[in-house]
Amino acid sequence: MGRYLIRRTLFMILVLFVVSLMTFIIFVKLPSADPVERAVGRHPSPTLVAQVRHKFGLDRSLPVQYWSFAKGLIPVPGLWLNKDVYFSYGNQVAVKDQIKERLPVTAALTIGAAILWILMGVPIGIVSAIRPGTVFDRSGTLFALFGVSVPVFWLGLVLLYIFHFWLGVSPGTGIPSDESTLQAVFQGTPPLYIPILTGRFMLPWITVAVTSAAFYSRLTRTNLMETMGEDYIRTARAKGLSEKKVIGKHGLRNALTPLVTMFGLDVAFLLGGAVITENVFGLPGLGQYALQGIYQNDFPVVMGVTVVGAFFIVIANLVVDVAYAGLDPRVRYT
Amino acid sequence: MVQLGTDAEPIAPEPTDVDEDINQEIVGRSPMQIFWTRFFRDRFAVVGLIVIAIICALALLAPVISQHVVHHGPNDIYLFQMTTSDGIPKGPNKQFWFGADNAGQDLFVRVLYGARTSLVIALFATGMEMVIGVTAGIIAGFYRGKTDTAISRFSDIVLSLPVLLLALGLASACGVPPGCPGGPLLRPGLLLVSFIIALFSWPYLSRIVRGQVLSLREKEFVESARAMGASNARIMRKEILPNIVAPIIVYTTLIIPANILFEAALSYLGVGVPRSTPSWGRELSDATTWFQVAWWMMLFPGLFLLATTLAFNLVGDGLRDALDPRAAAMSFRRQHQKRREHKAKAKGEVQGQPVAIEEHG
Amino acid sequence: MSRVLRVVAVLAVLALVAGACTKSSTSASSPGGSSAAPVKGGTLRIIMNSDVTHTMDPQIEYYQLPFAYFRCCLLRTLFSYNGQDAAHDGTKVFPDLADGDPQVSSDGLTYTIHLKQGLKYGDPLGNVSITAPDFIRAIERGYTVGGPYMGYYDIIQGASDYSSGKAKTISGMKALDPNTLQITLTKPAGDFEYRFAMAASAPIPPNPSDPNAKFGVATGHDESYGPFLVASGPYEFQGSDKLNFSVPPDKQKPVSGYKTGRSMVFVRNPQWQDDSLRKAYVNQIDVTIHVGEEASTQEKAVLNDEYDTVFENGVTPETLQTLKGDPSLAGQWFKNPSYGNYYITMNLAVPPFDDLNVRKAVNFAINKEGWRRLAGGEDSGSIATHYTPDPLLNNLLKDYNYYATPDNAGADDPAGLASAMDAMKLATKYDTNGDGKCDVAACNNITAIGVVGTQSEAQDALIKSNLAKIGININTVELSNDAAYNKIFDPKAHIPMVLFSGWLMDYPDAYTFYWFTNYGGNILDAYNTNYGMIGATPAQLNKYGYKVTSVPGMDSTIDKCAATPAGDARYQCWADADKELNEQIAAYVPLTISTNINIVSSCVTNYTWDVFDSQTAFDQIGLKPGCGKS
Repeated sequence: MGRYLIRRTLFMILVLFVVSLMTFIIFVKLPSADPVERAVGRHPSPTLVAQVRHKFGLDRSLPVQYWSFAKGLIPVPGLWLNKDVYFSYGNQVAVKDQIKERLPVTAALTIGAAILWILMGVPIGIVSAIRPGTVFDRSGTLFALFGVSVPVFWLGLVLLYIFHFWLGVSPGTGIPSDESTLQAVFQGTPPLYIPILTGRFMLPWITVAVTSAAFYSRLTRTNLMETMGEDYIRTARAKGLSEKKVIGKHGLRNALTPLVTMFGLDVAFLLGGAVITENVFGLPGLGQYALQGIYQNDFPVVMGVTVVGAFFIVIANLVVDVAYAGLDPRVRYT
Repeated sequence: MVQLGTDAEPIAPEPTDVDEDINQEIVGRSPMQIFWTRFFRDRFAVVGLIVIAIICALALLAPVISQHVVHHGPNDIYLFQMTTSDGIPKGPNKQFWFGADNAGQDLFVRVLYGARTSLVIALFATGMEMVIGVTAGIIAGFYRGKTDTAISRFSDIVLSLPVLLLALGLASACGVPPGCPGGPLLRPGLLLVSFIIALFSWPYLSRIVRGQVLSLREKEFVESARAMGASNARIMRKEILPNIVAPIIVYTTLIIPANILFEAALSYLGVGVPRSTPSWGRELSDATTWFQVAWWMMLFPGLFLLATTLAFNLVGDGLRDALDPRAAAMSFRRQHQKRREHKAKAKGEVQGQPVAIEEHG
Repeated sequence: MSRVLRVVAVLAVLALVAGACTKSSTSASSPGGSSAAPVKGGTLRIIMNSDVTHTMDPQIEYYQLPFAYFRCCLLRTLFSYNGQDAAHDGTKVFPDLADGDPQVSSDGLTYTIHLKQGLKYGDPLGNVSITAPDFIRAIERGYTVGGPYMGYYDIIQGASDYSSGKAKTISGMKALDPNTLQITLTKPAGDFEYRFAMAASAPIPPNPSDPNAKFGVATGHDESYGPFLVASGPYEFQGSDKLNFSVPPDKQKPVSGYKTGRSMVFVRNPQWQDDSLRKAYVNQIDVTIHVGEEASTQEKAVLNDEYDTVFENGVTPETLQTLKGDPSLAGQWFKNPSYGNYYITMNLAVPPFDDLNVRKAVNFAINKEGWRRLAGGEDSGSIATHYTPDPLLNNLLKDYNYYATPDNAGADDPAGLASAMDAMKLATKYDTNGDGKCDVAACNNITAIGVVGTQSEAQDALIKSNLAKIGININTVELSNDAAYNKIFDPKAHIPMVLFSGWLMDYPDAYTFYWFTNYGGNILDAYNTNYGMIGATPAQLNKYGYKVTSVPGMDSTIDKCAATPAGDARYQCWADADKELNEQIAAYVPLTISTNINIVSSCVTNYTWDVFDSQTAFDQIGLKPGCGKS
């Protein structure tokens, strides 16, 4: 177990290194525009250009530049996203502060969507598994295929069109500046004022959930069908347990174990920023921040969000692997 | 790493498994016949096939239809006819079946031509993905050991990348003429977009191929080829590759819609193909500004896009079931594989959609 | 664009063009003066979704955003504006810290300016008088930190020696006594007073604790003096009284009223007095910065009275629809001309645009009415028939339309197409068979740079189709704003055509429309804003690798107009210059003069549009008592 953890951690570091290096190469080595240009205005004097280049650290050699950013990846106070290099070229605000401010929005989107997709995906999967080949099952299949086939941004726009512009029951995009994330989640909006349901996150949740639930429903179905064929289920049935109990107590428990790991990783990915969903619904989360960074050639912003996202993913990977061993005694660490 | 089971087990069972589980087995039918019989029994898949055929026909006939039926070219502008004085596009009418987009162009014609772009990009991207993925997969599965570990870890890393953000960065960096140094794939245009998609998606295929190869390499016919002194390269090419064609085709069918969606996502975010090349993603990207006042701009390209991806997914699903009805069950037996599928899928959401590879098995 | 439109997020390029209107708004808006003078008091709440780029440093800031706050609130200059629209003398410059107009020597080179007496700085220097050396300090600091506007002060004698380090001071700026400033120029400048109305020339107080500090209180804050700014206007940053200049610069704490990237709070400057230009009705101004927030979200907040106004260049199309559809909002939105223009640029040094007749043909071919329609129609601006906005020419060219086509529809009208083809026929090098269409290889696959955006790309498609009718086939390349500028600013990139050119005045004199964009002597190796290569010398063309060896220019015309004293002669000179640019150089196809639509909450009274900043005048508007935050 100890050796395993060390190996995993080393691999995690390698992943972070590669992610940061690739981000650096793409956004610093191959930029489409000069980040200084925006800051110096028109017809700048060479003095100003040199001064801004220096301030942005662009006058140093590429390896030195990379290293100064790479240091910011070390999760130690003082180094972690340090303000010396992790500040926005646009307005000199620390990336760390912005991430802190935006993370709750992304987290609210992720958590709500996760709850919703579990509530949608798992029951559909169970029904499909119990009644294979029926209308339920076929509809479940179609739903799943719809979920993987529909473009996220299109689904979001269609939902907006129907519920906001047409029926007028949902709020539009964005979160009013004076509203906290919690208010945005829970507070109902006119004309219905139903808490949560007409909150500002409902449509984004549905959008993410529909495209994700598909996968969960199919996985639940497959696993449950497979599990129901196992010997111990036959034993349970033979013992005379009701079908409900067999499925609920023995079947589901084993069938849903793999979902836990999947869930962890999905959540981690979304925490790194659901770029498109945040963009469609104007949610000021990490994804929007990264997008803004890309559009404005604001490299430290892109690097900051990318790295934080990668961090969530590798941590989730580790947690999931360890947790999996706890849930499934058949797994051994080697 | 978590090691579950042995690496030699196939991820999806090989094609020869197919005849094992059929109840009403009829002696004398070839596996191919059984395969097609099973496939055509799946009504969803057949509908999907028909839809794909129609979309392909429309794409191929786009110039003919636009010239001889509606008499509007894809880049013809009908500004005063089809926009209001405030520049708001006008809706469907007798000459403009799908209405106009915000440039006053015929949306119907642009949707037809968009089919070409979306399909071409999907095919280019899928083709490149196949080359990279199959090569990597065969090498990893055939040589095993350190080679395998290196390739597998590398694909793990690719799957951990913030794909959409990097793709955006690459597309905007290399989308500026004359493009990035390093060859024609990095010049602005359809190839660049396809290449970027392939660059971040190949691990899905390589993983599947690797699993297949791992099991095939232990088979008698491979052993006998080896005994007869065939070189490794020859064995991979002549013995192994032909035997994994079927699963490659199946999974490729499932990758195509994912790639179509990837292109749409890039276009939506403003780094896809230029306006003079109509694409569905592009039209939808324009629609985001206008859909409140011009619903048709969102509806028609969106429906075509959805129909296409759905059709490919239906066919792919059907093909896989026909290839191996137990694939669904089997594919989730091995935990470490599942873990990666996840990544694949979760990643998909970040890039705008779940990647349809094994998710709905 | 100059000092432009960076207020709007990059992808919202369309918002620039989208939200606006044509006719000079002011009539529609019934602004200032009509109602009784507003009561003093209240807190004005401003929201914006982009931030300043150099933390409010008056010498370094470049874009429109900080300048509005400098002019209205924080800084007084020798001369300034009245914060009104063009119809109410908003384009004129008035004495502010200066006590009357300057005395000019007969050769027009020496200006003597007397300062108003008894004026003091804001906190914490409430007992420090504003004196002549403070202005010299500002200009010198500007050169030392490389301010982007210093080009306007190069005409001061000795400025170039100072900036190149040859001199320790600027010889042409002298404090004759604490209240008298003498400025000597190397050549006459009819817009002298405008140049000293820019924030970069606002006085910097000496540091009482260190009288020898070269840049006074700004010493040691070369990168960002903003958070330590000592005000001279009606407002100052909240917490300015806590500034402590007696400790070394790196130990000084910035003002509490400025949280970089988040908010600015301006409170009354207790020392402010004797100011006839600024009304300063409100007691406090709260500026909330939500970088990247959807413009439409912020506009909604204003219409809901959560904020009083949003700092932007025009509203989004969604909001415009709301405004038009709801008569009860009639008093809350205003159409205003912003003196910014949009035009197509052709590079004089790249074939086929090296031929005047080709450029004329292009001018005839573009469907300006269609282009404007794609920008949002009449609400987006007025059609430009020449380059300079009319008010800056005293409307001398109001009826001038050299490239007139029916309905301004260019080649999309048969008569317009005929005019374009007639011009093309004269370009015998390119139209070899005289059919009115270019028929040589140089006319194919011409790179035309545009910006990404649904509206701008539709406009590019229109331009492409117009030009195809005269045989010019452009290949439109749409890039992000930054990438596009990066490309066109490089004279070695030989970009033949730029589809998204635009310029917003730095101050209300036509000079600002010519000096950076049309002056051959200003072509730079990098960050070159003269991307039409107008007036490039053969040596420059050779240096940048062009095959074309000579291009037309108008440097001498610009020099002449720049030296002409303000008044009718100057207007006439610029009008003639505009004609020359339009007819003899024809590097541009003027498209529109943009119009902004701005909104305010229902709390705002006495709405006033400030021409200089192309923005609501925060110092001229009032708040209804008890409305909003009190």
